[in-house]
Amino acid sequence: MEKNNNIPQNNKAGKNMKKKNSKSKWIFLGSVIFIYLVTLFINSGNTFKALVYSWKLLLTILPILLLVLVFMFLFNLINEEKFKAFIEKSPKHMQYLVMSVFGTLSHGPIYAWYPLMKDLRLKGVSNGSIASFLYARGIKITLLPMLVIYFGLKFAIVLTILLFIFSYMQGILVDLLMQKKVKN
Amino acid sequence: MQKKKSYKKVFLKSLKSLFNVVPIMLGIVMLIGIIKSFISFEKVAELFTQKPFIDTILGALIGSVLAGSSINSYIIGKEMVTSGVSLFAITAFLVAWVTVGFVQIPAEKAILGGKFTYIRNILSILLSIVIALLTVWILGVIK
Repeated sequence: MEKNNNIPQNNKAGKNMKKKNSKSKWIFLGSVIFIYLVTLFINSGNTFKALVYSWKLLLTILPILLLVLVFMFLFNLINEEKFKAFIEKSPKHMQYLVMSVFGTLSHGPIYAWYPLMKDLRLKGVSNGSIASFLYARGIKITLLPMLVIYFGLKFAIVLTILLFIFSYMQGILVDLLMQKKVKN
Repeated sequence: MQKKKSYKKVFLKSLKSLFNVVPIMLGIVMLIGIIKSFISFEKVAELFTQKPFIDTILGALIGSVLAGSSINSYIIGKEMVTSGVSLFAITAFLVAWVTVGFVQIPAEKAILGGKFTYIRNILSILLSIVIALLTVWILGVIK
């Protein structure tokens, strides 16, 4: 199996990366809060609107996070060694295809799915397959009627099919580029 | 008993992984809120130049920067249609909106790694232009 670039190869490196990630997430949240404080002085009305919008958005994400938690729990139940062996045996094109289908069927914001993708990668799923999943999230089955009303049936069908084909292709390209980076 | 204990362990492990990304998700949600409140989505359509080539690249870039529900991208896209913006630009905009996420980059980078994030997002911008060209070409052929 290829070596995964984003997984630290020893414990020390792993601890350092965890520390760095733990720090950066709080720095990021702090920066966003700082932006809110600045905008509060510029336009308090819009800042309040932003807070209300964020709160509503957060409420819509919560059920998705619950679903993600269920998936994570189920994937964590799978025997890691057996799963890795299965992934190694299964052809790459099948991985891209399966992940593209999962991506198409998944709901909610893309970032809600990052933790599950991280877990899958730790279990041996390739970067390309993860990219296929994330790209296929661009296909919005539930919003298809709206796309048809706004832009026409032909446009909606062509765009949806192309998005699916390119989610598969992105998997291939991401794996190729990630490998190239390692060689360099 | 042993099995029950391991289920609990696995559940707690999953919960911990999810909680680890809460600050990032909270930051992203708040960032989307601020963008939504300070940028008038309807005005975005006015940024286009009526030059198909430049507009396609512009569509891909604007779609990459803006975030939120896809419904908003459809509304802006419709505005673009009314303003006479080329279908190349509109398609690139719609595709980039759903496949590229500048706002989500900090979260993606922290969880999935920098190399992966940059490669995936740059590739998605380029592919949004390719998909735009192909969509318009196919629509022209099947007319």
